[in-house]
Amino acid sequence: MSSDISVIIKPTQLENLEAFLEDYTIKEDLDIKKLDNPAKYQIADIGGYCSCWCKNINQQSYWQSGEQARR
Amino acid sequence: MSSPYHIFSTRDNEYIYSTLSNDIVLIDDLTSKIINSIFRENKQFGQTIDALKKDHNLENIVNSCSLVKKLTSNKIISENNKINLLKPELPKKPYSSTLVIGLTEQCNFRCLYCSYSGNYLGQREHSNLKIDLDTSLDTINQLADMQNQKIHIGFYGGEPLIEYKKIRDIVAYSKKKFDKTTYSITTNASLLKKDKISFLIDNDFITVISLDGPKNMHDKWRRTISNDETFEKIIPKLELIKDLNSEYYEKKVGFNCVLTPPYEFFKIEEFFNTELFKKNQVNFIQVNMYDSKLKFKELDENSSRQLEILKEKYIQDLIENRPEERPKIVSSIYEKPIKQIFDRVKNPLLKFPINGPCLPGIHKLYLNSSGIYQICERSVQTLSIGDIRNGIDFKKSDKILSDYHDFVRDKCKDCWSSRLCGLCEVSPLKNNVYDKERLDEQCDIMRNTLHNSLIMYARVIEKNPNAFISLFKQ
Repeated sequence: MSSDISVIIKPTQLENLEAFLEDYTIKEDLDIKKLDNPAKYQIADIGGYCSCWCKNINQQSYWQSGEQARR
Repeated sequence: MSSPYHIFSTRDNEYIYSTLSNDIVLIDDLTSKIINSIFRENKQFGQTIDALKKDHNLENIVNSCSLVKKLTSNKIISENNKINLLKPELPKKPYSSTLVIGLTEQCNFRCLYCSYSGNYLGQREHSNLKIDLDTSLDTINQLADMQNQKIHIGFYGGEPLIEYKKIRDIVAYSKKKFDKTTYSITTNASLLKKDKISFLIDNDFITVISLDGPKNMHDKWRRTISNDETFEKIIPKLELIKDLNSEYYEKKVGFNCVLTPPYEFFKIEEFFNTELFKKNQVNFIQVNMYDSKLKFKELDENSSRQLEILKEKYIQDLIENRPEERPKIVSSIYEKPIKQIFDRVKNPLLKFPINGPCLPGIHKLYLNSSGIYQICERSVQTLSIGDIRNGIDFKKSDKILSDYHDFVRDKCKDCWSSRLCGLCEVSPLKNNVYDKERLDEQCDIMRNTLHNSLIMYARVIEKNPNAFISLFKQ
């Protein structure tokens, strides 16, 4: 058995964008400008900020510095 | 669909916040249009360019497309990568480092908006139920068996000072069982007398006093059982604490202020900046409108305007290095999400635990007056994690995390705020069960708060890049 169905893979949006850019010379130096520099990943990326003061107290410094619990 | 992102604007600039990389990157309006068109609205690329050519010159379009390409190659935005939100895991050897004891369900006040007033669906009401001293001490023994280095014990009620003698006994006992102990209490302050204040000072308690601002605002809601006004009963207690030890008063006494309609923010801010309060921390909480028989109005035009003016002052105070003058209301509402933004970590991560929920029984263990362990004082017995007889059931803690994860993950994986979110296991509860509609409401509020927080954060950093470093690292 054979099949005549051919699968057409549509280019992705990004591939279309890249194909579009191939026709042009990029003149401007386009650096990515970040607003700030977040900390490196070193602690578990977990822990919210429940409105309850007790969770903050767990960190012990809340009343002095506005710290919050992040474990 | 692309990885989640959020575009927001300050007065001067436009930014994209990337959930994937946790970066905040400067973009222009044209780049923002291209990103939204091809990644969010999923319009054909050619169609997008044709539409833009009507209002923009080709060179700018090319430059913006080039920036979009760069954002994708740096994994700030991705067409294919999906984020995967994991269930937070309990430590292998779990232990509780904070115990909050609901000493009694009795209270000498009958504040109309109180969760326990009978005006709220699914909440307990005031009763004469009190905890046994032995029950509290047994819990302390159970916790000390897990680790005996340090513990924080919070005393909660009802009005916990009704059970003052038990507080003394629990404090004395806990000091024998743990190397380091810290304490806090949430009180209406009406029962404070010299001996009790001295005890709190001697044991370095964090004392959180409920006070709703100027007399008329406070007395409107906060009444005794016999419906008497309470403001005049409290102020002399505060003066007494200050007289006894002004340093303790300024550093260790804080206030919980419930914001109620008509939300007169200017008057409340002014009140908490008068001599008696200006150095104290104040935690502002909007009155609980959910599942209430009372109908609370939302913020009206005037109160919204007042809040906007205070937000503007907050921004300017930080830009001009006057953090000590920043409005307390804005600080209380927005500084936690802003800190969450400040504390975010870089690296593109495709998998990370859901942000927000606490680890039940680990971040905090709440012992209610019936001897049942709950995840916090806001939760109901459906989120119980054992009892005094059988100990803390960390399997139940894990089940609570699993249930929450199952309930929210499909919604979270496409949400731009999932790495900054502060919703927790209690947030989607309606009448003690998880409710999709309640979750949607809470998500909208959270995203709105985070959107505003991102704008405030960026506006400050644009003018004073070190403002939050000095605020949070002090």
